[in-house]
Amino acid sequence: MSPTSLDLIGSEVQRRADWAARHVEALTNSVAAWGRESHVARLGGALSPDRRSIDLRLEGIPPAPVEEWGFLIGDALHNMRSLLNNLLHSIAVASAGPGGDVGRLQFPISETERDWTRANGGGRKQIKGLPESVVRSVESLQPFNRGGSDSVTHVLWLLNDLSNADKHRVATLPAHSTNRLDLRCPRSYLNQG
Amino acid sequence: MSAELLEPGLAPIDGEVVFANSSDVLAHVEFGQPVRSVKIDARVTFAVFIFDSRGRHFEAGPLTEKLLQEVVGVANTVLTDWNEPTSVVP
Repeated sequence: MSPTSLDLIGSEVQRRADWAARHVEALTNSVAAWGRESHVARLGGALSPDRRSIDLRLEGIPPAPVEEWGFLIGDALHNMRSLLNNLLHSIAVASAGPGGDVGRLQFPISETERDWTRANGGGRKQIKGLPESVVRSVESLQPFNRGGSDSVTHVLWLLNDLSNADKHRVATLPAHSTNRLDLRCPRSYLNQG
Repeated sequence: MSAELLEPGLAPIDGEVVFANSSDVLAHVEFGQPVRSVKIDARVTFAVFIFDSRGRHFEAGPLTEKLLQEVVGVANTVLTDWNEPTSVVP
């Protein structure tokens, strides 16, 4: 393995990371732009019949481009997941040469140790043939190392979960909502009856 | 919001995340006495959420930024463990 090949692998992974970052940035900008538009939303409501209370509602919220946001999120997730697969593929080719068996190779993400070790399609099996240092490294990064139910709090578990849902089931459809509501009503604002 | 919270009158209410449509009630405010009219200053911030298969919700922007940062960290760890370090930056 020459330093030149290492640099090539690094730059290939870097391009995926840059592309994912562009989608994350586009999402952030789009949400911010919509948030600015939403400043025209009004807080409305009618006093109760006894005039002792009011129910407040938001009115005039501009439509949110949730489908576009969903695709941006999906693209970002896809590039992040692919980045890991590309990394191992590049290492395999660099280690074994172009003739190496990379057909079933992917970066495994195993929730349980059983997922990792099982003979049929287990995580360990998916990276068969890679240098032992890489296998040990990938194993050390697996969600199951958290132990028990904590594996689902692992960042790779979450990436896999969201990416698979977007890829294999339905495109990510985010929800937008009020995140924080501060009300200020000084007594001087009350026109008392 | 209770009448007590109107004194001294500037106590903010931190709303919880409310998955509300524009027609939903965002807040119910009690004045403690009848009023002819009222003026309320409000600041509302919006956020975009995504859900995982466990039904947990995450704010989309910060989550995707964090995922990218972590994934690049994973890639760098594998590269480092394999051989000499080759740095990838988020």
